Amino acid sequence: MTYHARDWLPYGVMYREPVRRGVEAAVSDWARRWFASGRIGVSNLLVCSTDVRGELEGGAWRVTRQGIALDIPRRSLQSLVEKGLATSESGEQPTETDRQLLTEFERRLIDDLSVTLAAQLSLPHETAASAWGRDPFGGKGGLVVRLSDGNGPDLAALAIPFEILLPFCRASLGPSDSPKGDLEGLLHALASIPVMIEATLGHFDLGLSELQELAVGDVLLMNRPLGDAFDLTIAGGQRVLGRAEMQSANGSLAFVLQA
Amino acid sequence: MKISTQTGDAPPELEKTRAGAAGRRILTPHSPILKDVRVELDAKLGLASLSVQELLALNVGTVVKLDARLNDLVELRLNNSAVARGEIVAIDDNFGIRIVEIGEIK
Repeated sequence: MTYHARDWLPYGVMYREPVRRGVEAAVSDWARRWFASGRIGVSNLLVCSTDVRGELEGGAWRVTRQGIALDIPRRSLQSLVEKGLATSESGEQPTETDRQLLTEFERRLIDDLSVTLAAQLSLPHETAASAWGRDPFGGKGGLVVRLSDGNGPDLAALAIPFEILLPFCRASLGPSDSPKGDLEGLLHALASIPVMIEATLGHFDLGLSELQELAVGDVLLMNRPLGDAFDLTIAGGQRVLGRAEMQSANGSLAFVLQA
Repeated sequence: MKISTQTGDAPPELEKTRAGAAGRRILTPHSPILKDVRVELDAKLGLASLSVQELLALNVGTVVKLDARLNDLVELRLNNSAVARGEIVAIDDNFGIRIVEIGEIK
């Protein structure tokens, strides 16, 4: 099996620019639009090679239609609401309406971050219906981005599966698509390598009995008119380089390349 | 394909045949059936050794010397082994090779 250079990238590539820069720019843009203070940013980037259940603090990841997931613990959501709505904690128990508003706020918050990230990193806009799940990576790993306002524990965690992020990584960090079979870059090393060119006048097709009876003086007739060009081959006769005509050159046999 | 008569050196499908026929060969070099096998002889004029750089610089009209002299014999090769040598002759309007030496098939 042949593995092409663009089929894989090391996980470490997720830590590098422009992945980090892209994620930070998207989070910054999202935070500025949603929160008056705008201080929410990326506190940590973590590459998970398998599943992401260990990073989950809330009940479940909310997986958006872009395949990106966000986990906002309840305590953080309240904090985010306060930042977003510029309200202060009243100490009152939330009503059903409050809970519905909170859920809707959370949904819009997550969806908007997902859309912002997708636009920033040129990710697919929609991969599936949004849902809740325990492992948005499906056991295949991905990038976990922890969000913080710089005060206390992280507010939320963002999960971007590798399969969604890899096209962006390949495009921005992966090897270029060099055309296969192009030896241009190796010419300096290949230049002095000798290549044997064989000049073959022609072929005779005969049976083993005829070969067995072949004797000195016999003439084998070739189905090739006089003056017809002959084949030049390389790689032990496996590849035809071109056609040529015979010529003499200072007593030696030579060939002249034909078109 | 090389078929050996040594025990355990033949493909499994040949082992059954061998057991039934007590090691008797099916074919010999003189078997008539071999006489109809077709082979191809290549008439080699000679060789030229060029570097990759020289190869890439070849143009139409380029003259390249071979390692053979004008009056050298042409080699007839069977499966890349020389089996005979001859001289180029013209028969009517076609090329032909007149056999001058016959060698062993290696």
